[in-house]
Amino acid sequence: MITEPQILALGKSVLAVVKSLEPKAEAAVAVWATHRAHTRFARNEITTSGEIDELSVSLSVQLGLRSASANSNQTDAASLRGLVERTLAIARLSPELPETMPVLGPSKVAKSALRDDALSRLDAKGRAEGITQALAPSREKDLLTAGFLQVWDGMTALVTSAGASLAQPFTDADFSVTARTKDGTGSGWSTLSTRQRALLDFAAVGRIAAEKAIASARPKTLEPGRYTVVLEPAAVGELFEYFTSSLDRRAVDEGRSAFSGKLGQKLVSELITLTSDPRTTPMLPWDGEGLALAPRTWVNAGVLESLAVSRYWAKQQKLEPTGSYTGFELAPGQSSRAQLLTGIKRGVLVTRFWYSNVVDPKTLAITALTRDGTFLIEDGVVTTPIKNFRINQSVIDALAKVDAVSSDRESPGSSAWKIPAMRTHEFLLASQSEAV
Amino acid sequence: MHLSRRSLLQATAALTLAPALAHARGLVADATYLNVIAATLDAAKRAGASYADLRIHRRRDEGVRVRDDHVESINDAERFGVGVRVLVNGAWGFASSPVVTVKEGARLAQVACALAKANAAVITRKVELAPNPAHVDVWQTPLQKDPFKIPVADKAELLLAVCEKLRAVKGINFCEASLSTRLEWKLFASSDGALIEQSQTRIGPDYSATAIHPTTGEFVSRSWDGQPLQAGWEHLETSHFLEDTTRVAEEAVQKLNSLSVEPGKKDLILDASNLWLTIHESVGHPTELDRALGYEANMAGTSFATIDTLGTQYAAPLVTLYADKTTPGGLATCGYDDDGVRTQRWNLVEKGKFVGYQTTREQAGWIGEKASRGCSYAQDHASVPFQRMPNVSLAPGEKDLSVLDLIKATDDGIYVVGTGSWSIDHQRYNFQFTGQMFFEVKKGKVTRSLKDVGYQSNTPAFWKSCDLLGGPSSVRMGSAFDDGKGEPMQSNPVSHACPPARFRGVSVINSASKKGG
Repeated sequence: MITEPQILALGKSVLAVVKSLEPKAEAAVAVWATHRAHTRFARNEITTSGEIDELSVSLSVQLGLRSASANSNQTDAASLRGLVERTLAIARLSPELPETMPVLGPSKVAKSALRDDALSRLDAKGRAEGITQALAPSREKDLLTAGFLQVWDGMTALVTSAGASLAQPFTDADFSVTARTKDGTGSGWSTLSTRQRALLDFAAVGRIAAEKAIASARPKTLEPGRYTVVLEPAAVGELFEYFTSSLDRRAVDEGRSAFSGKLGQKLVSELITLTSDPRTTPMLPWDGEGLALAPRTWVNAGVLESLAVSRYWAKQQKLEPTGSYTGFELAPGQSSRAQLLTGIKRGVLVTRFWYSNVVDPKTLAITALTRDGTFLIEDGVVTTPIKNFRINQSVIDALAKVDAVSSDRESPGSSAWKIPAMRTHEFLLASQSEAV
Repeated sequence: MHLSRRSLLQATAALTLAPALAHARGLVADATYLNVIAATLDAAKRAGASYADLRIHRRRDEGVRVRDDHVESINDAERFGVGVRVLVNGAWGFASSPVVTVKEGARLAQVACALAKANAAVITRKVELAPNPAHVDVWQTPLQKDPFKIPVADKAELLLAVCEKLRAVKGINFCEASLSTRLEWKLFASSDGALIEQSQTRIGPDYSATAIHPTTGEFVSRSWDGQPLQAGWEHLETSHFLEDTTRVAEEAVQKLNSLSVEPGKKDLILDASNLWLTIHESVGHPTELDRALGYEANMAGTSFATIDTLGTQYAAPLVTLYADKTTPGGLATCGYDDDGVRTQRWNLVEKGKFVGYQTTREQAGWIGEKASRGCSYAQDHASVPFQRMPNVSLAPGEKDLSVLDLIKATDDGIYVVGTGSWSIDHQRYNFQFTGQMFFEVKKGKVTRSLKDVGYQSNTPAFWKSCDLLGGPSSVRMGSAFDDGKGEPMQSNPVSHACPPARFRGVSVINSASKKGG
């Protein structure tokens, strides 16, 4: 793997070419070097596996208000010169872009602890052993299992003609398993994402998927309608994908966001606090422009407290720019998973959602399907597997009715998110899905 | 009977046909690449591969985005490299790198073989590839004007002109326009002796206008119904890109002031600009063989269209749906797939009956077919080729009916234009789509526009309710530039040609959430 001095030197060599060809140009260079290994399995067998090396250079140049960006994964001297020439040529030909902001200079950014040597050493044999552990419960119970493991080892850097010089090493892993009963009536799923080998618990992911597959077999029909639901962390995460992508101050100010007119107001349940903090959230501590990301509270006890402000919009509106965040944490609650069920006369436990999409941006209403473990809750106890549903539900309304949050949190799908389970009410399970 | 990989290797000496490419109407035919190919395949064979292939692949994506009265961004991304795939003891291994040299090719072959050996130790079902001729050929998008040779300033100027026309319509508050252009060049070679050079150029123009109600703050957007195409700059000159702007903007304002739909069972006339996406989701994906057999269970899901349902009724008898990787202009169209199989057309649903799957060389034998349908694709050099959707299209009716004829024939229904929101379950039963514009139809006439329309159905019930098709003159093509599938996720460009069609008694919902469902 490339070292920190090497990746910074590569970036600066591109800046030097820009300077030599166009002394007046401002420039920013982002470099990503990754070694990615993946193993895919289905029907209880490994189907494909690969190892992919990539080194990509993204260059942005500015000639006054004329600017352009280009990217290449060819890093020999001739190719890098070609990249610079191409980017400059596009910038010279382009019209003025009024939203162009000057490149950023040096900033103090503390490195985040995003790399784990042990994870970087997980080789093909180790991956196969981990997958074998995950498959064991399914093989024992005669289930059909599919899944995917991907491990990253990488380094990224950002340098600018104004003097910024940032580098960050990282590792990351995503692992997921789907187990299905052979009669096709039951399906269970589990996932985790982590940057640390010690937390990559293959056996636990395999066990939960197998247990859910068996428990969800031969589901009963529950009439569509509005129900109290307990959403496991993956399902909560799906709602917050839409919530966090709506945190754009410009869209809010322009009146084309579900959050328009809501800044500073109580928007969701007081049990919900949403933050980003590079010191505790395992995320890159700067954004794509090199802006240091400060700890930030987006939602504080249900109140929409802040929004993401781009540098351009900050200048227009005389605000402080926030930068662009990729990691989010939801504050843990007080309830155990069992306590989330307490008091529910008749409700539904949802493992995860699938194929969600916005149907009404005005209310942030989405549609999606439940999948891989949907269960009836009766008198505070999970009693019966039920068929899946299509939901049509406003994310804001669902989060406003949250009255219990779990004390444990998971990272389903991204190691840069920490998400608890939640209980909410009058959630619209709109129609039946026969899918298993 | 299927030949094993080893017998194929013995039957065909690798690269014996290589010089033929130089005599073909070659695009590049760089001799250094032939050396990389030879070294890579040789290293794979020495490391124990019974089969090996490699793709030297260049991909270039250019994007220009305009917002209101100014250019927002101009990007140009280029990726180049080589991906090597091997079979050792019946198991796959893959490795890739951006460095395309003799030495790196040989190293990748060794890495891929080591991975394959590790996998071979734990698998019970060995991969067997269906036989395939070792083609040596060149294919490229028929195009008149290379869009990469059009200066970005000209592209920006066109997009700004679009926005100017959109903003000239009273009631329009915001607008956006964009142009995506993609080049894929690849040189495929295999240990069977295949050597295929292909170049595909795709162009995707788009724009939308947003209207905000001055008093209520309600907002709606209307997107253009035009589509990406595998073509050159000439697509911009023939697609009414600029000419449609005023109508699109006026319809955004019209939609804002339309009546919110009353939910219920309705007859739907789906314009081709809407129906293509429904075909994609409810026919294209369910008929992928890997899905049907559980190979995509962990991500995209499985399919209701299992092997035991072949020959059963999928749709009404007037419905024939076909796969075709040769459709002119289709985004998935090419000469050969990433297994080196020549592309073709075949039926998936014939006169209502489910008759075919999409397959690769690995998959053909799983359903007793003797040859692949040619559906292997990888998005770039760093991705493993696997089964991806060809262009999947609906055959028109025999009578040359127009969409107006369909409206005239409908007593009480809704005419849906353009694509909006979409969602379908993981076995492709329950789906829900919206659109861009919705028109109430009463006694054969459009009476008024509606808003908040969504339709929800179950795939077999929906297709069995189809009772009227537009004719050959009414066929239009819709396209998805980046259809996602697989782990790691890969994008596949794909198109769907179809006429407008009528569907009886479909459940219409009001997509505004308070009335949802």
